[in-house]
This record gives sequence, C-alpha cells and structure tokens, in this order.
Amino acid sequence: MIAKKFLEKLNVISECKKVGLGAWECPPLLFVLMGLINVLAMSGSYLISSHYIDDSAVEIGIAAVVSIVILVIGNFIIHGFNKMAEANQLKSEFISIVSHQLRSPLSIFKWTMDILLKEAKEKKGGSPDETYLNILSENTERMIQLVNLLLEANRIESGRMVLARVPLSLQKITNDMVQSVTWYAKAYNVDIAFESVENPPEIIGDADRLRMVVQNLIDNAIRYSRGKGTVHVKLSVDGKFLRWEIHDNGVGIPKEQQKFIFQKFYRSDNAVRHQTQGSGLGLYIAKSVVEGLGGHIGFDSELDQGSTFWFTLPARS
Amino acid sequence: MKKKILYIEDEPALQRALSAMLVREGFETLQALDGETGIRIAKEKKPDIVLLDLVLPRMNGFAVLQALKGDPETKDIPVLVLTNLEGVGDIEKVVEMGAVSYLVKTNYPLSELIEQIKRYLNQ
Repeated sequence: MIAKKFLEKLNVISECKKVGLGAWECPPLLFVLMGLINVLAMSGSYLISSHYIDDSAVEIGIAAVVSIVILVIGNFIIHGFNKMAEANQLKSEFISIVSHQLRSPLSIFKWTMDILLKEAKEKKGGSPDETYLNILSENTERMIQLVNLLLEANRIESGRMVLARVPLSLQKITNDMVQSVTWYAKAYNVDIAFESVENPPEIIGDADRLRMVVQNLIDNAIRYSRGKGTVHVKLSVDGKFLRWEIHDNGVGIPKEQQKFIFQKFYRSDNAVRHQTQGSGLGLYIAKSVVEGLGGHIGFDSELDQGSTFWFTLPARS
Repeated sequence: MKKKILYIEDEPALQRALSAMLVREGFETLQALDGETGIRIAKEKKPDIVLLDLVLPRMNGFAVLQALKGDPETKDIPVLVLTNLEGVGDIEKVVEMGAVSYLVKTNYPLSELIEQIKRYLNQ
C-alpha cells in the first residue's frame, strides 16, 4: 500500500492532472527538465569554451556561470508554476467544500418543501399556497442543479470524473426528457418535436451524465429560441455512430465567439443579453462527457438565424 | 407490525422532514444524531433498515457502517447510505462495506426516496 502510494507520487504527470495542470505546467516535471537543460548547457558551454580557450579554469568558470544563470531563471519559472498549481488546487478544494456545504441546507429546503407541497395538494379545492411553494421548489431545484454543475465541472477539471459504461437507449433518454420539458417549452412559447430513426442501436454510456447532456442541449435550444418556433430533436444513425442533434431558430452565436463556446463559464454576448440565467458550464460538461464516451460534439450556428448542436456516440455493436 | 426505520443524521431538520414523511407512510421511526447513538439504537431496537449519513460528528458514517456490519447483532440489517458527498469511489466503497445503496440527498425528492426505502425493505 505504501509502495503503491510512493509510486503514485513518482508519477508526477498524473499528480499534476489531479489538480488540473497539464504536463507543461507541472512543477515537478519542469524541475526535472530544467535539471536536464542545465546539464546540457553546462556540458555545451564547457565544450564550446574549451574549443576557444586554453585555460581550463576559465572554461569551468564559464560553464559554472551559465549553469548558475539557468538555475536562477529556472527556479523563478518553477516557483511561479508552483504557485499556480497551489492556487488551482485551493480553488478546486474551495468549490468542492462550498458546494457540499450548500447541499445540506438545499436538501432541507427540498425535503421540507416536498412535505408542504404534499400537504397543500391534499387540501380540498387546492391551496393558494401551492403556487408559491411551487415557485420555491423550482428555484431550490435550480440551485441544486447549479451546485451539481459546479461539482461536475470541478471533477472534470481535476480529472476525477468517472463515467459509467452500461448499455442504454439514447432514444428513451431523449424521449423522456422531451416529455418532461414540454410544459417548460410551453412557458417559453416554443414547441418541441422529436424524430428518431426506427429501432436505433443502443450505446454504451453513463445514463445520468447523458441525461444531463441531453437536458442541457434541449434547455439551451428552448431558452434561446426567443419565444417562437419549434425546436427539432433528431436521432439518426451515422455509420458506426448514433447521431443526436437539436435545431432551433434562436439567437445564434456570433461567429467570432464560436470558438469559445465549449469553454468553462463562457457565455456569448447575445446569450447573456437574451437570458440572464445560465452558468456557462453545460456545454463544457457536455463536451467532456461526449468525448469521454468516445464521441464527438459540435455545432453550426448563424447569428439571429439559429443553431444546430449535435453529438455522436459509438453505437453498441 | 410496523416496520422500524433508524435514521442516523446529524441535521435535525432533515431528520424531522424524512421522519414525518415516513410516519405518514406508516413506518415507525427511530432517530440518532450521531454515530455512537445510532449503533446503540440499532443494537437495542433492531430496526428493519438503517438510513445512514456519512458526515457525522466524532464517528463518521464509514466507521458506523463498519461497526454495524462487523457486529453479529446488526450485520444483517440493510443499510442505505444517504449523503451529500460524492467522492470518487465512495459508492463502490460503501457497497463493498455492505451497504445496499448510496443516494445523494439533494438529488432525490422525498417521495422517490421513500419508494427506494420500501424497495430495500421488501428485499
């Protein structure tokens, strides 16, 4: 057990991945690299100086000076990256602690409201409180979703997201989700239609996470539709992949901002203008989940014309 | 004979909410605000199921689960872990330790939670 932990510590790159740092930002790896560069620079400067200078004390002196200069510069660089790594780890821990702390009071809200709503529903002739309780309940749910998204993004960033891999029907997930958002789409004055190829193959994936992806893409299409038109969801087979896509006639994404759309916390200007609510985490998570399951994700979008978001996942053979 | 459910949870408001709902559903509820009390009640009253939080004062849920499963008097009582923690490997860990399942509290409405409890009671 101790030997295993020791070996894990030696694998510096995976240690760095845990705190969300790539190999080139990883202080221990940089330390080793700087050491190698230093040895090379020392031998190089010694060889070059010995070619031009006969006095061996001067040759050694030049090699030593080069080595010290590289050592000092290297130390500054590694120190800087070390600080960055520490800050990154602190941020991840902070998000994790805050999110878990928020979950306790949120569970209390949720369960207490469940009881109050049940009681309100049981009252004869309905209760005027029910509307307000529903508002409270929906907003508690929103907070819970946000905390879940933050925790999920945190897990992705630190490489701790573990995807389940079980056979499942993307058609069923989509169908259930479309059913459950119909009332919500109506509130936005948007229709939603789902069209699927007959008997699509199953896929291997993580049902909860794929539900999150599908929900996020449908939510976006509805919310950015500007209160008109129909959102079309389509499931088709594309070679060895199952292709899921959603088309809306909404606000679209400005061309120059399209490359940032899958970045964490990013929301395009017009998205913020049309919808103040949104964490900018949904697409970031969707990309990680889809790619983690061996698929691809992308979109086509025209400003003020609408967007088509799609993803593909390997069909179960 | 009413089925007895022991809920080990350090948050009194959650205790109250879930217990109230369970009583409405016709169960008898037992409550413990910390692990040691929970283990003592489990031994004395032999509940039909234990609902266990993981973050508890002094003795955490993992230790409570280990104690319950390690004691011949309580080892056969099903334990359902109810938590807000979602650490990597926690689900596998508690199931390996003998819990029947692991549910994240914020992700379950009370009604669904009660359905799950009933399912494990009937097994």
